[in-house]
Amino acid sequence: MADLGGWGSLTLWAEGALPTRGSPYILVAFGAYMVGVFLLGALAHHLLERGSFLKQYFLGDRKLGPWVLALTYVATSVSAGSFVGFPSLIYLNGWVMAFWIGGYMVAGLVAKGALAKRLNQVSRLSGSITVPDVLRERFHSPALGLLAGIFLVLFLIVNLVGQFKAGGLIMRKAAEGVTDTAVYQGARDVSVAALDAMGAWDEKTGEQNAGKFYGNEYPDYVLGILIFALTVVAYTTYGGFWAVTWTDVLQGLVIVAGALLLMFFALRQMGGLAPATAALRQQDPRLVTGPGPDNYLPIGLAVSFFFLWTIGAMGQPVGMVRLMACPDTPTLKRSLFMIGIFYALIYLPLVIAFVCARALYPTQYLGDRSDDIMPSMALAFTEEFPLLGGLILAAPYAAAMSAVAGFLLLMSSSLVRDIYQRNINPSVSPRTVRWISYGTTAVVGMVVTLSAMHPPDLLQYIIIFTGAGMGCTFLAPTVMALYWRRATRPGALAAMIGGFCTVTLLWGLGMAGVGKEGATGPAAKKFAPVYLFGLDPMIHGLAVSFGLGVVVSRLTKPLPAALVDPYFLAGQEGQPEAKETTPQP
Amino acid sequence: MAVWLACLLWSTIAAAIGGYGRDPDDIGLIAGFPDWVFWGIVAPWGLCLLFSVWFCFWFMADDDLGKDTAGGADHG
Repeated sequence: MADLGGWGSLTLWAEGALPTRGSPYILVAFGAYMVGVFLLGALAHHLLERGSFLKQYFLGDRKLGPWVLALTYVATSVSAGSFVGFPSLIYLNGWVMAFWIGGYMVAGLVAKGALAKRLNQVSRLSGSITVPDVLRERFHSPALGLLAGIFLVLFLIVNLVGQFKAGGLIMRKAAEGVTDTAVYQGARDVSVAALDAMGAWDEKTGEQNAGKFYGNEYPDYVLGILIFALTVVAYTTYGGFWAVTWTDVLQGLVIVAGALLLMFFALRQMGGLAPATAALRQQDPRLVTGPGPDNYLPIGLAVSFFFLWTIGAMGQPVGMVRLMACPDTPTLKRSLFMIGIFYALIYLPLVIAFVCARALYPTQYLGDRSDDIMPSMALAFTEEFPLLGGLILAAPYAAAMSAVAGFLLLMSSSLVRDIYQRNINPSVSPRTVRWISYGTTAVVGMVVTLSAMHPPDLLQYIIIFTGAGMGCTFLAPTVMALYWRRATRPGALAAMIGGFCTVTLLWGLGMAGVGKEGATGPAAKKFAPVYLFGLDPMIHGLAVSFGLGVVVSRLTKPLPAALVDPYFLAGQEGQPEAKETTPQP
Repeated sequence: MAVWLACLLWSTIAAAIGGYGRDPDDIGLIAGFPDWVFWGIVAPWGLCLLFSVWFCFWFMADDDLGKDTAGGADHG
């Protein structure tokens, strides 16, 4: 027993044994979850037979209920980064990560409360079904809609590669209990033969990279990624928005249950939270104080992340589309409340669970192996209950799947509606629209799958970059469109381009090695951006975007009142309530 | 946005004073959390949830969201 000052005493955890390999029952729980996903996808497909295909496929006909709206919003915003990258950071940095994620205490209120009602109104008035659609209609600018569509596709492709990587890693872990079976070995052999034929990997490469990403387990990762891609692309393509939202409901429930179960089992194994905190202080006092080990979270960066999770979340098109799908205000209010509850039930339990994980396994997952901590703990905490282990392991998989499905649909809507129908072929037939929508969702899925075969190393950096990038590109033009009648077309364009360029430039300079000399903590990492004045690029991007939007709007000619009035005077006597037709370019 | 600013200031000030540059031996425990995490993150998080009850069910007005004109472009 060791004395821990005022915190009592406890048995110090030695080098705990690493968790054992998975059980076949884990795959049973996983399989049950996947069957549920496919049933919901098939059911959703039936809805597409009725009504407007585009509005059904990309917006669910604006008929989401409060539970569905809340869970689809949460499931889409909680991605693989939350369940794979975030636990890894808690394990490495301890309690300071509670401060890092603290913005989620108010994220739902800010992101939905500030934009939801007005965005929904304007999208109805303009007949819009995508975010670029809203911008294009409000500012009467095909160029703005097209540019928004292109920026959206660029960011989403980068983000999807990271999500697919997480899906492949988790599937590999889930399959550990059946790797000796003939079926698995047969599939693996096919995977090895295909990689060999493509010249992408062979046994010799595996031996040379033993213990690393491209080591002998690489074909298992490829197999995992193929299963992940096939399932998520299939149900998204087949069922569209309804499939994505209904599966989001199932995935949202799995995510919440997974986080709570993980916390319960971690506390059970640790014997409470106080001994875990005490063990962390004993291992390294910096694990219980700010800024954490290696100056991980200076105050400036902590404030930046508070902005990212709240203000940045407001500018995410994938969330905005869900706000546009809300049928009425009572639904909006109930879902807004539920989103806050769900965030609390996911993020606080994750912090507690992985503080316990660090206490239980002090060194085993340090260094390059920290990304394995979540799937490994899911198995370690539930050795006696492998079915529950499967459910917990399904949580990050569900998080990756729901994010990917939402992004795939958004990307396909940008390609079909914002780029093809709006700019190339306005008179495209409904039948062609349907097949192009199916085709683009499937093709985008395949392209990302191939890219994810050789993914970048750091998942969390990809997700932070794309989140900050989309926030800085879309938030200012959207806020201007919704709330400022004096905003002009050039002003919105300047805001969008300014935000995009600022974020991309600061990340690009960082990756090129600028500003790394003498830097400590995350700023010193190879893939980190330049943290100008100690702040994340998102803060600078938002300042430039809003600043340019206001200045350029003030300096340019306002839109004619006849084009703006319907959005600001709708419902008032003598004013049109909504546009009668959707204008073509 | 006032609530957002209040949360940002509360969390940042509480964490900066209670958790940064402090001797780890002086940090107390509240329900197993380091005291600065409890007062800087857990407590305001709970208050935010209470606030959201009032905001969503008493403050936010039931407005008409308008007629939906989407879907015309793809001819149903």
